[in-house]
Amino acid sequence: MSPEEQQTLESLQAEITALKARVAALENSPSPHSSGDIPRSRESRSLIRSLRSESNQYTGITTSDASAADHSRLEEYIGGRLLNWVGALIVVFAVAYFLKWSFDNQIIGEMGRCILGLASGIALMTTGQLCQKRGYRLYGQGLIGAGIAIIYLSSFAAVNYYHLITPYIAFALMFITAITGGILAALDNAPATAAMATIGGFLVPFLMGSHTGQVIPLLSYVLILDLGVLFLAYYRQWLALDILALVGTAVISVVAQNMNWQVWPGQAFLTAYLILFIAVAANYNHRTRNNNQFLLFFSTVFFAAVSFSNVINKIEDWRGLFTLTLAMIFLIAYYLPLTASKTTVHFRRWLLVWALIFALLTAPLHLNDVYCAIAWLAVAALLLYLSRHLLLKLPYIVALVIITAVCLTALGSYVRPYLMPLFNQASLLMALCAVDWLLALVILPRLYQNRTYLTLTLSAAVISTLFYLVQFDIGNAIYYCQANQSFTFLIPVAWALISTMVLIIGVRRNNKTIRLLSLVLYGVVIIRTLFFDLRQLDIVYKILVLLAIGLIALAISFFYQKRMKGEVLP
Amino acid sequence: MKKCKVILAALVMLMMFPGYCLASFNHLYWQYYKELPVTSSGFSAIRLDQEVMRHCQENFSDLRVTDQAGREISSQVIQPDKQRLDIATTERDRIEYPDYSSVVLDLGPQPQAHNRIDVNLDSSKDYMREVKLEASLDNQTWGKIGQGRIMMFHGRTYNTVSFTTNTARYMRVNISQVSGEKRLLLTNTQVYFMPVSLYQAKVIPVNLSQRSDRTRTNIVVDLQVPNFFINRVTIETPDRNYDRMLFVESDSQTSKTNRTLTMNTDNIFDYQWQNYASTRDYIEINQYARRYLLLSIDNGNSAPLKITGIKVTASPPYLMADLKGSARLWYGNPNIDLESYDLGKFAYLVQATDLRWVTPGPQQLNPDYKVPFSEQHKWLLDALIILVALGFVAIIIKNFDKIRELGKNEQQP
Repeated sequence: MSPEEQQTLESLQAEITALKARVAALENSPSPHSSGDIPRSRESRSLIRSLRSESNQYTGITTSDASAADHSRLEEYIGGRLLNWVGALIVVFAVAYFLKWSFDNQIIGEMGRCILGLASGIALMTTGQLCQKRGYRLYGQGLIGAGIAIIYLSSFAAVNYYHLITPYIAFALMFITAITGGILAALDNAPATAAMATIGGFLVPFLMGSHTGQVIPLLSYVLILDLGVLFLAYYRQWLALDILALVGTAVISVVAQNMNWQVWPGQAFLTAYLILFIAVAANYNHRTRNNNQFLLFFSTVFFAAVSFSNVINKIEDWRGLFTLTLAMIFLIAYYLPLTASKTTVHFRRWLLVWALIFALLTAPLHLNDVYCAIAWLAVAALLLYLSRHLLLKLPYIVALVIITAVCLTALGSYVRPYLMPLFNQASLLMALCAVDWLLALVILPRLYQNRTYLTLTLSAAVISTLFYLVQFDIGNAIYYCQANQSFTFLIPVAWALISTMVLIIGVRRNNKTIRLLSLVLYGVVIIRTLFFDLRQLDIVYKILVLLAIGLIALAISFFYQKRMKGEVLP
Repeated sequence: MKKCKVILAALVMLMMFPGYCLASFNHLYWQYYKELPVTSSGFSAIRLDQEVMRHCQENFSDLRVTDQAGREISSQVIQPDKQRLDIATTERDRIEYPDYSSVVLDLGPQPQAHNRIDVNLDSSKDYMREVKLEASLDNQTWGKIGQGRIMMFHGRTYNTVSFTTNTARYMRVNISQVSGEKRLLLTNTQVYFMPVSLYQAKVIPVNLSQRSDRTRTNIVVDLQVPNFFINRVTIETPDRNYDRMLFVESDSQTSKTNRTLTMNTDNIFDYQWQNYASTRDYIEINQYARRYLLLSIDNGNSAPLKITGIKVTASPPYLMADLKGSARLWYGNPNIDLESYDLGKFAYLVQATDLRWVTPGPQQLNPDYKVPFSEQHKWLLDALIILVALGFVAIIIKNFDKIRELGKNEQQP
């Protein structure tokens, strides 16, 4: 054995000894995942230090301090990864310049150019794969990426510039490239290759140059691509790839709607995409146990919105059926044994939330006019119940928004008094609004303790709705019976009676806030009477309204006098 | 087992792709039809009578014409929009007289026929002026061809004057000036030809119901059928000296709903005193209406107008089709979309004189028509959908409880 061979053998033996000791030290450490958090024992630390120094003697690399290690990593990054990418890009440019030069000088013909491009692309992919197998992972990925790009560009040129092949052959070429890229990415665990293949795959319809505008083949192609992504998502957990696929699918779906779009076949594809991305999201959740809801959220919102705009003109009378179908899809996804056993509780909860959203939207979207508004109020009541049952604030807030919106809509839609008093749609709607406000007021203490301003706001909402209701119906009654307009004097009287009811509730519940609120309401009634009603009324009705309001005020005053004297109140 | 599930899922996905389905005319879905007695070939204008208007869809989406063999023929509702043809003019002589201004317009050696002129005056304030129009072949001998009033009222200008269609080269526009008021200068004029529309508006019989409260008068005008093209609504009142805002809306019900169609809003007024009279008791609509017109007059604090009648000037719609013999007009299908035929691209080029008038025969019920179950019992299906949705909500709430328990168990060590 020569002295050089002897030295190599010794260095290898030392390295094996160092590695064995290192493995032993790692095995003895309390938790391999929390090694950064839990301090190692002094012995093991010293052992590792000694092993590192021993090992470095043989490797010849000086890494005695942390900054040296960082420099080493930076060096590896620049040398191994960045240079690889830059190199691949420069090669692509070099090839492009060469091709331009050869084309300009008529050295290579059109057919030759395309064959050259395809051949070099295949060669680059093959070389890249070989490099990967020999351990040059990053280097190989760069070559494969460049190969995929060159094949796409060559196919694009062949079909669009030179018209050497038909769009179908170009499609087949590009599709095969995308599939090959995907398989190589899965086998080599190479996300960059997968991203390149996916981007290329979604660009194929735009590069292919077909002007037929046929939607079904395009959407079928996207579906096959998405199935490929689902396949990759099963083996590799690349969220970025899933998002890329979602964005690509969304863009092509929107583009396709501006082509020779067919509503029902198109809808079938949109539904399939939605189901597919629910599956991708579930898969990702199962594989990574990551509760990131980005995929589920965006795929649901996007495909539900696009589907709705797609079919709305066809199913004007059956909009509810559409949302019900969506709710059913999410409910089935929730009940699927695979989802139930493999995904996290958080993910399943979100499936239920989406199912609930669509189920709740069914009635309001399905019905029209006043029935739609009533359905919204029923949804608000259900949300209030849910917030109470699950002690969640979000459904409560959503319910309040819905009630407010319905109230405002009702005020805007039924301003014209044509209707029979009490027995009309607007009165029913306002009464239901008041009931919903009251329900919200009752539930409020369970969710928000000691929030007087919230209690006051909701009380004001209930009372305002009731005030409007009585004013509306008294106005209707006068109009309906063609009675003297001065009968509007009944409105402040009715308001005063409502204020009295509030006072009674405040006394019964021994609630100072409610009593004070009732006094404020009396103030409103008196101001209204003096500055608004008196102007409009005939003298007899002026007397009547003043008498009624005055008497009620006196009665309240008497009540408070008794209270101040300390007498027991009813 | 896993493979079977995957294959099953793939099959379900494949089943979701329905094939192409071509839209074609299927008479089973149309409730009514009328025979179109045509003997010769060419473009025909089919007058849609009240039976058709009553049963066809709001946007005429369900009107279809078929030939004897039952094949669909392209048809198009003739749009009442008039294609205006502007004529270039040169101003020749402008003379300012004490009580009127005069300007001569040269329309060129061989001018096209013209019948309208827009006269714009330099004023940002309200005004009213009389316009007298004269025509001449030689700029020497003038003959009166028309007269009218132009005005600006509440910032809106009413500056079009109609006159007898003529082809004279010269036109003289005489604009009166009012003594004591600022002299208004003519800024520009536009002479044009407005072809006679097929839509010859007539006063149609209507039913009225009217109610007034302190500030507003509400009138419901029942046109008997929807789909009339309304030109104008005139308020008939013996009252004088008023100025009110009039709102016109349309709906298929007698009261306002979320889908009420706003038609127009404008002032109606009547000024009458010594040496001064001006009236505008109508509102222009120029739109298709639903069955009811909902009129609302804002009375402010004035007493409601004493309304003696409402005059609605309207025209039924016309359908154009290239008929080669007897044909059938189908209508009464609520679930069909408006078709877009080639005819729509050039229908406006066909002049009234190129059309033959066709009056459809009596209405006939399609014996093959069957009301779909979903239409016959829509309320039942509505109830079913809502009940299913409620069932879903109940299931979901129950599962939320389960999930909550599971979450708690997951959090426990």
